[in-house]
Amino acid sequence: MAECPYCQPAEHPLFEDEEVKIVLSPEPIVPGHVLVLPKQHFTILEQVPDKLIGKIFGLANKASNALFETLKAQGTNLFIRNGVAAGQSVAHFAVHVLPRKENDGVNLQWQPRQLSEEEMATVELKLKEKPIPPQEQVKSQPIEENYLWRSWNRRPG
Amino acid sequence: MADPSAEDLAKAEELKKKLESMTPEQLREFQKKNCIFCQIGSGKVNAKKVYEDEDVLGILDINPANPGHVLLMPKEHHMILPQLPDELREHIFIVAKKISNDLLKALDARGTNIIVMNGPVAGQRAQHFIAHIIPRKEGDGLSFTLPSAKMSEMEKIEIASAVGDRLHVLLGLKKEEEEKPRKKAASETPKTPPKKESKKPGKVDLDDILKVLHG
Repeated sequence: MAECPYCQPAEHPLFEDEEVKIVLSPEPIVPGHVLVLPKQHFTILEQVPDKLIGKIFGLANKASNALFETLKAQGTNLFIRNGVAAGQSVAHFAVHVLPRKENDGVNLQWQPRQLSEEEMATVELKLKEKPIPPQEQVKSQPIEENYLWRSWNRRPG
Repeated sequence: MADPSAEDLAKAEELKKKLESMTPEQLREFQKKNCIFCQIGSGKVNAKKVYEDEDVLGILDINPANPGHVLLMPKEHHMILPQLPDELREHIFIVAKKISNDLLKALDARGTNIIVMNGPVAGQRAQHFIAHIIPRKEGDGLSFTLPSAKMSEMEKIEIASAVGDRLHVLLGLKKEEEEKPRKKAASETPKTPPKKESKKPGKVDLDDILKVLHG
């Protein structure tokens, strides 16, 4: 897409082939923050074909190893923000790989919520009510039905 | 809390000695036996399962960031991301997509976060690989601290080239000797003094991560 920043050719790609590119994040959380991006414009995870997901995470793993080895990272995070409500700021699916060091100011922890046994059981039931046989590929549902995609469409610009 | 008795201390000391004398294989076996997530995987410990197939298991986190927070894990004991066999890693993240989709539909979530913590410094607490899948809604009160790093153009180019080179070596697209010798980037200089632990100075690699995880 012409107006998508992640669809533009990268200036200093760390890796690139026909389907995937790896670049430094234009808005780094820490030095060495990289993005693993499908070249085709997918807004959210649910639109990315399974085969490409396998490849993207294989590359994210290698990128994580490269960050360990070159930047002396002590840990790494893979981080996906899927949808505006999850903090996604660019409408192009990306796997963020963050090299981590002690006291680097990043916090991906949360305050655990105390749920009652009943609340937990309700959530379990809701998730189990839509059983999809294991291994079955999630066929891309009609895109118009997808809230996330609609919410992106509503965004100006 | 009462002070540990002499007997407890002796037991702890004995365990410590036992662990230290183990070969890496024995240690792995010991960890597997004591890993709570392996026990959930084998059905010895109960959990609210929301996805299961031959290789992976998705359960509800009992300390969730939001209701519907799913922990997705391999049944086999693997501690960190780089240890996962290729096929299993691919399968895990394809299942993660499916679970994310289920959370959007079944719980009416407006987004999802997927987080992998690789090493204690990155927030990993369990000694078993886990992908966290967290349903999100606007105004759910969950916020991560994500600072913004200041980097000069020069630093960016240096890091892109160093990490890119290494990545190509790891992918088998470049030979080790073709890697350009790296200039020491400013961000590589540790500001905190090296820890007392038996780390080789200036070198933190996956073995170190594994060692920390081995406890």
